[in-house]
Amino acid sequence: MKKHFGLIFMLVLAALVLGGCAMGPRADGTPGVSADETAAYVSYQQYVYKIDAATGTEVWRYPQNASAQIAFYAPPLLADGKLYVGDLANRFQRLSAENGNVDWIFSEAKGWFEAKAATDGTYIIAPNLDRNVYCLTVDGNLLWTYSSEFGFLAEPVVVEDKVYISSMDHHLVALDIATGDVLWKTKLNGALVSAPYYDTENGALYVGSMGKVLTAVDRQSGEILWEFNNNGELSSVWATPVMFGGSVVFSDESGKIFGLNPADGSVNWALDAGGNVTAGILPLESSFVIVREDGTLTVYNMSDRAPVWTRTIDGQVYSTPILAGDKIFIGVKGNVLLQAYDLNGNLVWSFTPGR
Amino acid sequence: MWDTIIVQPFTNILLGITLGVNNFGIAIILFTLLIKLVTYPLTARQIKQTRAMTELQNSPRYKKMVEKYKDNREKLAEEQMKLYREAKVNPAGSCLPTLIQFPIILGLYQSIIKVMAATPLELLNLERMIYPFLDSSKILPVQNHFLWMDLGQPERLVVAGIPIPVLTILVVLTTWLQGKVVAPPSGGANDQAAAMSKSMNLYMPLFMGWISFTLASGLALYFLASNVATIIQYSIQGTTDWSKILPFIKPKPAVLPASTLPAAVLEVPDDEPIPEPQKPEPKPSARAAVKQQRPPQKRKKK
Repeated sequence: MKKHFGLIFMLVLAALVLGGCAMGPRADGTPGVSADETAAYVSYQQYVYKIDAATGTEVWRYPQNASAQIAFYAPPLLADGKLYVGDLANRFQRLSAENGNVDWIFSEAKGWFEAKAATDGTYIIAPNLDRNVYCLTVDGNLLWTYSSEFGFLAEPVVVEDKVYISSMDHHLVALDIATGDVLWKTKLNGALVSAPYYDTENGALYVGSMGKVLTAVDRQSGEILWEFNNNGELSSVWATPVMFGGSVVFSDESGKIFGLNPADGSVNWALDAGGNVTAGILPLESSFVIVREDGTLTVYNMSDRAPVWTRTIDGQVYSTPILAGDKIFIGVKGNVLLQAYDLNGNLVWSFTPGR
Repeated sequence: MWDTIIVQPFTNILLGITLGVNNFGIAIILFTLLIKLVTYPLTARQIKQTRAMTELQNSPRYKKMVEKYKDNREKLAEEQMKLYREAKVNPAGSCLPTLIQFPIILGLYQSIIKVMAATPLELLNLERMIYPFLDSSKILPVQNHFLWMDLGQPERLVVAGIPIPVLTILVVLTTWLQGKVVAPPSGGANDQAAAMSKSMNLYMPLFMGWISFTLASGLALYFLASNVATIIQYSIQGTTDWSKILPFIKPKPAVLPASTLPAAVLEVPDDEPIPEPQKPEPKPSARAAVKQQRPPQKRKKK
């Protein structure tokens, strides 16, 4: 044994290098953020954190002791004082938003939970990478599953008794929320990695894809209303579009921002963010926020699209900023995990997790 | 730099094959075979050099030289180098091709990891690695399911409710098999190498098994394909020895029959006798050694 020590040491070292020094899930993710007026919740690596919105201090973290087997990247869903969040140990759990105590854990999935769940107050819709979407009761009992050829990375959208799901298998799907029956299924150009935006006024869903197209789909029939690819110049769309000022607004990966006419997809206006954008656009009252991947945060006027203020975040930003109360919360992949800005662009606090 | 030269081209080739065969599992196997084919000249050279080296180290002349200069390491090294030059054998020749292959294997490993992107960020990074002539919208995401496996997850086949790591077992078996049948024959002068090889045959399958058990099964599939391809490759070269695992097969001689070296290099000059290999003296046990060092003690009389 002694004479083989060197060899064993080398093999163990090689194993650690190949395994990324971790026995748990190996994945590179970004912080998943949710917030209300009192607190922000962040899923990142081995913990879910609750952070006081006023002070930026940690209220609790879940689990209390880190495990190499568990990692969190899905943004938590906050509903009725509960936090619903999945992890990379194939588990989906409900926590008390108050103290982080576990109410229940659903562990029948076979893949990672990376997408934010959705709810109508009765059903919890949790997409998974094992090619299934799970519908649970608020008590954690499985009601139905919807299966696809690929996993799911996008948050479902619940409208009345229907759930709309972007699928990596290039389809936008409408399901009956009570039974999981497929109401319609429309094939789009490319994998869908973000949720559709539901336009209540026009009854349409707008969704971007890795196929470099933004598509408008009729929410009742699933029929494609129009498609926009900027004459073949559009790059992938990674975030959910939004609507303001009478336009469907979205960014492509290269940082071109478009405001489209919801009726026919014609371009109302366009601007260049000056760098890659994978996060969604956050509309405020009379302005909107764009965060570039390199951490450049800019607020533009809605009326003339002129920049109002710009800040530089120390890190990379991939997820859409969140407005809660009078603060804008931004999840950061870098030296800090979460930053809060006021509406005038002042940094209120930065949160970096302690050990 | 590393990504641009190695990982990115490998990733694109792997994705190109995946697009062609429409199956990521088969693409991993084909890509592994392709890499084996491309590195075949290196492997063939390595086999040739190892074979020549083994032959040389088992030759009477080499044994005599080792015996003659056993107390003078410097002189022994000098004479060895002289002999290597004379036989036109490069002592580093067997490991140099391995060293050249190592970055290729590492690049292959990394490209498989990259293609199995499982988070939006990994998918974004993968999309950015794809060359413009490959249509990323048609390739991504890559279908990770192959047979009963999710190639992005550790593999288990559930039989009667029991999860069995089939791929891990196959990787362990083929790694062991590869170590057994591919290891070059060794003689007395090469005992150290043989001992090392024996240790590797013991620990390597366990190591590979552990990696396959814990990491994504796409990698285990690559290990399996690589092991099988190596065994086939060495079999084609005629350097496998199946008698080590199949007793009914006639064992290969320690020195390979078709000599690649000039006879004059291997033979001992006529005026020098061939030394008899010395039998090592049995080592005294630790207790016996201590006993020997102690002065004899008188027994106390009661």
